[in-house]
Amino acid sequence: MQKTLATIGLAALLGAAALPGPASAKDLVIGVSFDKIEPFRVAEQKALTDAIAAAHAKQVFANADKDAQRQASQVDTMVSQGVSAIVAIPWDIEAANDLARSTIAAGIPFVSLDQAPSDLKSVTYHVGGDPCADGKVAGEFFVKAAAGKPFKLLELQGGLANDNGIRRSKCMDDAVKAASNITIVAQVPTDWNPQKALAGTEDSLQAHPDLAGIYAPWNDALQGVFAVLKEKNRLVPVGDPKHIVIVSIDGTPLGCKAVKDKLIDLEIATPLPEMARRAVAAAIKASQGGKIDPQAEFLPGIPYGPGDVDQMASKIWGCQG
Amino acid sequence: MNDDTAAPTHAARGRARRLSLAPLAKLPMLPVLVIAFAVLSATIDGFTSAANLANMARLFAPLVIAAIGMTFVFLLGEIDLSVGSVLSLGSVLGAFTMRDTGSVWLGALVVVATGAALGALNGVVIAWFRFSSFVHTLGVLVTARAVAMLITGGHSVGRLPVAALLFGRGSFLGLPNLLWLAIGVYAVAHYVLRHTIVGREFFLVGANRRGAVFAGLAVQRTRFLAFLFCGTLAGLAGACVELRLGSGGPILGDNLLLMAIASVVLGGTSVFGGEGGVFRTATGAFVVVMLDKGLNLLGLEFYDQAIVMGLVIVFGSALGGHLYRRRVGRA
Repeated sequence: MQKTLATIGLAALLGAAALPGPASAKDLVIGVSFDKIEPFRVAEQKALTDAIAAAHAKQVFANADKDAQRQASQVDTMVSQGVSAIVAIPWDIEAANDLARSTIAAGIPFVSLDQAPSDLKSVTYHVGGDPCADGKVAGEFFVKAAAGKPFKLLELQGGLANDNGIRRSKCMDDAVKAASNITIVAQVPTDWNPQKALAGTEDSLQAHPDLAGIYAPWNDALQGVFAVLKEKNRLVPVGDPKHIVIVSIDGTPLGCKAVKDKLIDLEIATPLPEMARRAVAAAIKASQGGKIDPQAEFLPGIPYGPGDVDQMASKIWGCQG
Repeated sequence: MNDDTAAPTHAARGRARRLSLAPLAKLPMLPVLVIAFAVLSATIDGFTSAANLANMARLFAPLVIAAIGMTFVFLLGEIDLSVGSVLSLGSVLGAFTMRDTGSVWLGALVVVATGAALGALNGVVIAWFRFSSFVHTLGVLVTARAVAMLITGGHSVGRLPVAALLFGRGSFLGLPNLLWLAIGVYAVAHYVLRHTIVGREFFLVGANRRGAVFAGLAVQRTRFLAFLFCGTLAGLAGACVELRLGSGGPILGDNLLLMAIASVVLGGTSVFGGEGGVFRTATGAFVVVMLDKGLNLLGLEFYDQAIVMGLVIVFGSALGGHLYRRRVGRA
């Protein structure tokens, strides 16, 4: 009986549904919801923090740790806390649609950053890199590097449950499709996991010792790729006959260093500070009733390589500091 | 004041201490829950607001449903590692059904049926083919997740009927609909375990399987039922998550497995079987959800949150084990 009463009490405590609490802060408060924490996200968080501070606003931060349900709950909490706007990197691009709609219905703008929800119309504003443009640039570089000769390419794939992973792969594939001399020997889904990148590279090199190129669509993959290449004595600078052509995307300090060390041929840097600045500006403007136009922006990455890294360094966030 | 009250004998003090510790031994997380709730309520603005409690309830419901299923398995001293993947695969199939037929209920039924089917498979293989539950359910974890990825190409499946989200985020009589489902599951599970012969067999088989065989109990049937219940409830938890999010996905249940295990262990159900119950699991799940929400609202960094959660799991389960040994030792 005691347990039954306790259970009912617990249920009543948990379940009392009501309207969200009123926004009490006079200052602008931006609720920032991240899908996960990893080196690139840490850089994004810093860029957002800088942009929010520059706008004289405050932030509330939550990390969903790769859990769509937790992200929904965290955003709901921010809504009940009365934040001025939400800036989110969605973990589940489908669930993000309904999450954004319910947030907007509660009168709070919802801005998605970096990772686009499947329906862009569901959010107040989206800004991100252009994964397709980046993938295309990478593919075209491989076509140029192959120069009409037989060229075996390993394609590491990021997370196939999100827009960046899907389009960075698809558009690279499309760009090399016409080049019949290029053979994609393996497409390895990694879920953005460097260890899986390592295993995929190891397997491919074992099966194809004459591997000529590796597409690493995010910088953290380079850790795994380099580990394998070093072990096989193939981690040599651009220009060395044993060098494997590598193209990567992100523009992190790791990627910049790899370019400076001439270990990779091309890096496509995501314009992070600009993305963060636009996301925060749109969130604040929308929270004050302003109209956001355009509703979505995709900023193409900045390509750079060993030949021009010194000139480009000031534009690449990972090359600074 | 007589002598008894002024200076109780050593024996009387011992009896009093045992009496006061008796509920604690069975529910080691209850004081943690009460203290944590009081502290978080006092330190976080809006922690006890109705909106936040309703939000916590929606997070709590699928977790406690899956953890109750896991409790049946733990009572036998077994483990089911496949619940997260079963949830994911079920959610994918259910989402396709909802989207293609427009029927939320048919979709939800498919999610639960997927869980039941995989649970029955686990039960048959483990009970009658004598496979190790750890190894077999690990295989199902990997396979079910891979099938879900294969079917969807890694994408989540959204654009479900509006009714799905309306139910998942809606309330009835002031309580979130999902919490009603969890209360229903709790009530049935509690009744089965405490008031039916089948339920008592879970404790007997878990405490001493060999003895249960000699006593003529249907040991294999009990093991089968544990995995069937676990799979079915993982499916129902999947339906809850799907209805709340408005999408299903191949990685939707990835985090659920560890949280469900943490809830059961924290609640005080023994990993060796024969000892435990669903009320304990409910307290464990509530502690998990409350800490998850509370630490986040306190503004702790993600890493700090994980450390606190890990420490609570370690010390909570150690406390539960200590109190259990004391109780068993006395008996």
